[in-house]
Amino acid sequence: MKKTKKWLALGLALILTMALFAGCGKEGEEQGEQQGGQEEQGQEEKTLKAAMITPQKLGDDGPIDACYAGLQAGAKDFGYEIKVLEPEAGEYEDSIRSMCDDGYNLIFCIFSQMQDAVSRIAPEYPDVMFVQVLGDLEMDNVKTINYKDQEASFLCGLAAATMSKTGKVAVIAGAPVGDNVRNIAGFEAGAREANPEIEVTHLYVGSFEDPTKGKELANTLLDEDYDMILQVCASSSMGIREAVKERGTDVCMIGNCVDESTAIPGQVPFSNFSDHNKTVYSTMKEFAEGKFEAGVVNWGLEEGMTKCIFAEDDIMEVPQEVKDLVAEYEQKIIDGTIVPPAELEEE
Amino acid sequence: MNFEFRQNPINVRTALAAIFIGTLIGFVMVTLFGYNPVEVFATLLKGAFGSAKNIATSLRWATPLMFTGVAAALSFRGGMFNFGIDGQLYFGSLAATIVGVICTGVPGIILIPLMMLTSMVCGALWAFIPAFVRVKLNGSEIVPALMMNYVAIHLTDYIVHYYFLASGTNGDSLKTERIAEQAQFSPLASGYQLTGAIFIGLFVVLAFWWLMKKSKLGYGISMSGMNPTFARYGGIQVDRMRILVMLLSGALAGLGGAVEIMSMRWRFESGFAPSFGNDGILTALLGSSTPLGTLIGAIFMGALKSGSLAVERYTDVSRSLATVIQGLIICFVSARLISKYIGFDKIAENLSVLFHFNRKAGEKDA
Amino acid sequence: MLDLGILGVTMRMATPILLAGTGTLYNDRAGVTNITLEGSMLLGGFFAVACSFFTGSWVLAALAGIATGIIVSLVFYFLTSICGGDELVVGFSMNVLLDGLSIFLLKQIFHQSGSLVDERIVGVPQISSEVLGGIPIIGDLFNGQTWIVYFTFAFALLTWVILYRTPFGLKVLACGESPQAAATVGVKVLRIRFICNLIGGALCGLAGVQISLGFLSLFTQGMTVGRGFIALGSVVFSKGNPLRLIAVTMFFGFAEAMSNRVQLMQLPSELVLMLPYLAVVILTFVRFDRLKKIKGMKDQEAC
Repeated sequence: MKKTKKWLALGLALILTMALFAGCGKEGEEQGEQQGGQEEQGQEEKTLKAAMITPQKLGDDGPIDACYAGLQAGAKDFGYEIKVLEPEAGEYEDSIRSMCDDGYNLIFCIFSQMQDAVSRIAPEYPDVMFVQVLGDLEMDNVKTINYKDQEASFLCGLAAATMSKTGKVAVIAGAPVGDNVRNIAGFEAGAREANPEIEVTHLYVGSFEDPTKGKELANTLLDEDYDMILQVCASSSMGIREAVKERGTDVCMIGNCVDESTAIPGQVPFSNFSDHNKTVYSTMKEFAEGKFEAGVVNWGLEEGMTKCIFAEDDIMEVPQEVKDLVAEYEQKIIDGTIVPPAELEEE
Repeated sequence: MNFEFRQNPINVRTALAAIFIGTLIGFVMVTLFGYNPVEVFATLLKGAFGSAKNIATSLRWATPLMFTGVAAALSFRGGMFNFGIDGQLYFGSLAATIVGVICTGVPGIILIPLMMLTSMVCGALWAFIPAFVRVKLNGSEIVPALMMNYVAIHLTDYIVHYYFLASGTNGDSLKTERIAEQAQFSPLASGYQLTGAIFIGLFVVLAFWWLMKKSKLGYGISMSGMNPTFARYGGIQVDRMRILVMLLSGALAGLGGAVEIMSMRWRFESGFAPSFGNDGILTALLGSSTPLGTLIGAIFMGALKSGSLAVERYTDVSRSLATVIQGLIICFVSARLISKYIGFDKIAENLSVLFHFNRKAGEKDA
Repeated sequence: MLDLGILGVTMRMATPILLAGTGTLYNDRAGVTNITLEGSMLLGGFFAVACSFFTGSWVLAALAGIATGIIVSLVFYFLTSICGGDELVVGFSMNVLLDGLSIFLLKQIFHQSGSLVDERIVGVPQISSEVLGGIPIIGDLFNGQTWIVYFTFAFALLTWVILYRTPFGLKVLACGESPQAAATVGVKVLRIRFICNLIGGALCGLAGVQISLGFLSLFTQGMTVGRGFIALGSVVFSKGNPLRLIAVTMFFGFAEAMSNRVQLMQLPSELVLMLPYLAVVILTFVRFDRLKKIKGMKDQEAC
């Protein structure tokens, strides 16, 4: 008797919960339908809606902000409606799906963490175009964009080794992952090219969003007389900036992804630039003009999407011979006489 | 420091009152920053229950919390505070993934239970260390359990990076290869995120109910949790119960991770389970560590998560509003006197004790 | 690799842990289980940065951090002692809550998600002098640190004096050892605990200031990365003795400092990052093992 009572209670509770859900569900569906109707009306003019989904937060003054700037510029010039989502790990699929459901037809998925989610969702929404930044997806409605980071970082390594007074240069990267490894490999090869005697090393912060650790690592390097540090760690680089700034003008930081020369005036001679801004903007342009093409692209120095970008002279003067050397090697890489390595040498 | 933990039973009224007060404070916070609270909370509700798809999403987020929630509830019932659920989940699910990646030739009917078993064993192993510290070394289980979360996260990263990294650009973000196809759950309906995992979750809750209500072991567990001294007199080996509870709790946490991987991710990736452990603890606390309470708690937390994602998408309000509300609710659930209607005179009395008299002080501690 | 420069880093890394630990030590000795360290530090750090952003003064910022810590501890005290909440449960959920709150405020006030970086944020200045730097070892330890570092170590030593040599300290100890007995001889248990709670909160807030404005001059979400819990662990290991607490926290500071150095040797970064946390787990074993053997001796000592 007691048993049955309990089962009954449990069953009742379950039914009640279900009923509650069902009730809410109906109401919501109606609303959803209404919204759907509105959307259909709007679609006659083909609305342009672009969403950007990023695993790292905005405000890194690096790749993510560059993408966002591109997105905003695109929205302004081509009349897109835009939205940025910053989901945590594990929520990517949710976010992408909801953007598809909301009628966004161009979706930028930043960095390779998103690949799995994109590969699963893309077939379900054939009308939505996806742009995967960094990855190797080959699907009908996905454009995958990669950079040959090693080419620009090779030039940075070259310049850094030439400018270094102590003969020690280093990279601080976020984590041992693809684009970071390409950057490190290129930088180390470039540095050795300029000066075979150079001491070059790399460290990992272990996170792209931990400036405290970034600063401690930078300080550790500076204590060991490293005087040129390339950062490849998004938000963690805020800590590196502070460490370099506090140390004074004898040491320099090399920016990444964007031109960081104004971040610490006089201490960022050049930056390892990859044009996320232009990538996003030009893709939006293509899409607006109906020229969007799916497929994998791999951009480097030749396309001008990565480069070693020098500070303006009034911010920091870089010796002309360094610039000449970089220009010389830039030509060599474009010609194909030098191929910077994309993978680390085993030590 | 006193880390002895004994959960006070919570009645439905207290929980509802706490939810009400927590939400009210959330309302005020939103209003203070100049947003329309009705709009924000309507978005939250719509995101949680607005459509069949949203309900499915809520249940999808509730599923892992059923595992971690029961894991936490079980440890609370046995008088342990398992703070290390996240670590156990990570460690267990990595082990299961490795099995899933290596045994590609094994049929699904064997592989799936094998993966579950592996995750449970490894989760339990991870939970054994804090249990050992508590029982054999007479220390507190809380600190080592907490620290082992961080250890597990870094250690799994290391193992993935150096031994099981996916080929190609997928490896760029510390992922393993996909597990064998026969172990991948597919969604119950296309376009929905809900998989058969929810039934496993419900089964776990049911098993928890059976354990606590029907079995002798469950009686031993709750006795040693409620009153260890009394339990010892009653011939229950409290120490053994404590270790057992932690092992079971760790096993469930590991299982939750493995099921999440089989149903949603199909591979282990760094940071794939955002705060499932903590949310599981909150779930158990909200549900008063009872099976039904935990189930409802899990659905509530899942809905809140799904709703908060919607809030972030459609309004300018941060999604951590939901985290704040969760925290507030549990605070008020625990601070019973607020949530009880009659509590205010008692609060006033306590305040007066603090500032004027010390008459009651000794009594209170007794 | 093991030059004396590491001493300075050790001090810097040990400071927030020691500071929060000292605060919690008062709670511990008075019999209050307050585990909100992590949350207080985080929110304290946040408000310090926010205050620095708006006023441009690090003094006000530090005060804001301390005030935040005090408010957090007041809320904790209200929910537990006044409203009958369970200390562990309230502590745990307040950690969740405060973490969420810092992100919420960051987004709502500054419209940033992730981190707050701005030129207007002023860090706590570092004090360096030629004279101090000239002294071996001492110079390495103390030169170029923020005043919070000096304050922390001075206060930790002072805590030893307060606890064991002043009437107030004895009352605190009595509250922790046997509240009923203390109440019978006229110690106002609740009030003593209240004061200890406030001290704990204030110091945790200041620890947050050291992390956000002492190490750096910015705020990132979750920037305490478990330091609060490490501090909690240190208090447990040191059995509530301030001197032992200094030693334990210095050990953790050293572990963190080492983990930066060790990376230069190209060890796997994941294992290196694990070091400080693993150190806590291992210490759990070491300490309790020893404790059991000489438990009798300890008990006598305590009397």
